[in-house]
Amino acid sequence: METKDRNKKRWLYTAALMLLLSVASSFLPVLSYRTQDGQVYRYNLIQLIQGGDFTRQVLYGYTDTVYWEINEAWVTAFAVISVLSLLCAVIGLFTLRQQRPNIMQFWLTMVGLAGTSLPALLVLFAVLVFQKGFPGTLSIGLYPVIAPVAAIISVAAVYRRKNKYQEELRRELQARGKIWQAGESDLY
Amino acid sequence: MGSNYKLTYGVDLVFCIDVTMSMDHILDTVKKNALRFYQDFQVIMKNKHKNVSELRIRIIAFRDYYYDREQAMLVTDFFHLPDQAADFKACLTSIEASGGGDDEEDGLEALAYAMKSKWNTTAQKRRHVIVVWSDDGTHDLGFGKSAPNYPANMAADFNELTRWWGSRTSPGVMDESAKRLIIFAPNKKSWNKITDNWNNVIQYESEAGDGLADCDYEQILSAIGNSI
Repeated sequence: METKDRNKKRWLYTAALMLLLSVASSFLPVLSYRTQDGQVYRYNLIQLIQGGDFTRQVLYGYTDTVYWEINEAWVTAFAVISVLSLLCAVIGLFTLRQQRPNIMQFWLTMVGLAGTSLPALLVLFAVLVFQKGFPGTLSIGLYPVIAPVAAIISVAAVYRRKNKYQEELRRELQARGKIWQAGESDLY
Repeated sequence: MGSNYKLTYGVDLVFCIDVTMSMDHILDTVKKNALRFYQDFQVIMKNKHKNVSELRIRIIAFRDYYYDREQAMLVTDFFHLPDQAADFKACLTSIEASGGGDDEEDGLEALAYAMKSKWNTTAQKRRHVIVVWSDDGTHDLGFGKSAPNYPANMAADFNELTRWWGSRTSPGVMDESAKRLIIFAPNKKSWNKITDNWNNVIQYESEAGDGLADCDYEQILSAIGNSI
């Protein structure tokens, strides 16, 4: 019985674990920068948001065209979106635990989980597009890889749970004779 | 005494919903509209000073016999609303978009099942409405005949289905004065043929693979309201 319950909640454990992994990975290096003289600097998400050393050691060296200046307002907006996504994902996951979730709860969770990978995707985009403008070598750390993969796995787990729930509900309704496969008797 | 006399209306609705994968992005809208239909319909009837004594809704979720076999055609009985609203909601929720194979679906088979529903025959005034939601055309009848669950007593071809629908001079299986068919589908085979040749049909044309905004729902709602 306990094993059955555990299997039923596997989607929740998977999604929650991936969410935790995504959050934890933001403390790992987000990107690293190797200067021309071989010195390596590594930054996690908090250090990037704080600016400071990153601006001095890396951004000041940028020589190519600036298409988009990410100022403090942008950084704050991304941070707010990320925190909101995290909140949506946590609230969504908790509410989806109930037996008959509605479609709003499903989308709240999906948007939240997908949103948690937004900073990682932005870093990935920035490194790929602007790399050639730096004198040194800019490379991605673990976070931009782990966070999107974790988001994909958690979204897949929640999506699967939705389909499974619909399947279970349909089976229950079929057993009660509320819904059935149409056949000859329906054409009397 | 005569002035106190009020006609009672019995309204039966059959929602034929295309639930193939291509409907995935709009199926939730269709379901949402179906769920709110009872309240919205009551408001319209109240404004028209008409008393609907009985409203029943049935669901026919259709896909493609050839590709989807056992999952091709799921049907429910009529739900009396609002008494059976919970069961109605559960049945709608249990339907998911999947399968479908090629572009066209077995919408004509769904129509056949809808026509042969157990319609209300007791109310003084009756309206029997079939509403079809699809984002594509239909196969010819019998396309999925090779499926083991394809019914042997299905209309053999479009002509037979046309006879089932009937006409003023030659009534079919439905009550001629009560029947209405509202199609929300693209102008494709065989929906356009039905609109051109059958009586009491309204088609709201949608783009293939698109459509079903709130304004479309309002149109369907007022079309049903106006027909009563």
